[in-house]
Amino acid sequence: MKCSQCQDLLFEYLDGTLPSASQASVQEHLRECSSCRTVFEREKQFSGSLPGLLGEQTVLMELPPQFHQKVLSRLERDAHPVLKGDFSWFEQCAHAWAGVAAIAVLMFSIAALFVIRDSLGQRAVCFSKAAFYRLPGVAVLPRRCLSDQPGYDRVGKPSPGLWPGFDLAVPPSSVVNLEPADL
Amino acid sequence: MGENEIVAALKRGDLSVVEDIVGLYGNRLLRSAYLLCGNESDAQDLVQDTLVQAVQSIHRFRGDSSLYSWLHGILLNLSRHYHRERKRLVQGHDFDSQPGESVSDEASRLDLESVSPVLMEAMRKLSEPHREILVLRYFEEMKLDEIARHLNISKGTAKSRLHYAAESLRSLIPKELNLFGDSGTD
Repeated sequence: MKCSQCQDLLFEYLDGTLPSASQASVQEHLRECSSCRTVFEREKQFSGSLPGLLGEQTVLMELPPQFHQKVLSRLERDAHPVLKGDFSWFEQCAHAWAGVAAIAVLMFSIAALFVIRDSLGQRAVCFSKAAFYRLPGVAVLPRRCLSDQPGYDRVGKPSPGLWPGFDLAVPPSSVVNLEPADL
Repeated sequence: MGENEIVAALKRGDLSVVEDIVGLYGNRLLRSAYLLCGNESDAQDLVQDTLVQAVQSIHRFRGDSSLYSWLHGILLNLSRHYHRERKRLVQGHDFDSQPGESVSDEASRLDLESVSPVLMEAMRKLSEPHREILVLRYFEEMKLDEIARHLNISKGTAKSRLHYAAESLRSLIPKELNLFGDSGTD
């Protein structure tokens, strides 16, 4: 066995994980070669000292009591993202109410938009060619699709005006099945 | 409670076994984390993150290795992330080589018995891969094959890295301490 081969196998030799033939070859080489024996002794001393030294640094180190509770709390928080961030009960309630208030303001704003539009008598919402929304029994359509339909005038305004200012009416049967591509 | 029972319970969503995991592996993970990051408080955070991540991804544990080895793999990844964050926070300044006294300067004032600060400072000054492989080999007492598997590197790379890591550590310890019984770095 060459010195380079022997030194390459030193860690495995120390681990005792070499096949028995290789283990014997390394042992034989170490008996004969003083320079490889020096390398081996150095590694053996290092392996003998460092584990004890590292153990001494940490042997008194312990997790605080009830550490598992911290882990469980983290898992609980991660399972309920709303609770993330260590907010107090009061803060969590405040955030929930802020959300409700924001939705209420948004709905009020939308209602106000229609009231303003109604009062000005003009369209606040313009439908594009592809805009086509159909609710059960009710349709909101671009005016030109409704022109000359029964109940609608030439420009598509509802004749009696179901809701003044809105193009909202029970759709004529002829336009019920309109597809966006037709608009 | 045994490892298999713990894993089965976690896969069922039974969190009562978290206390058992902490009891079985918590302190061992903490000590390893301390050697990897060099700070006890951060080591506790790393252990907490490790256990949280382990519980959340227990379905990925296939039993190819021991539960502890799997937990340690998570710890190692989190420790790498921790070092990346530390480096980012100090804006490119290498935290592992903070300015100040060199190990030798510090050691010259110490009794030969006071090796703890010198050894820990030397461990901190090592590169991350060198520190990791020394912890795996000489603290976790893993064999070469296990180290290679744990770090997902070849056995040859593990050998070479281990050799250079040991040389680096020797070079950072003052010869006069003769810490490894080989009269210093020669």
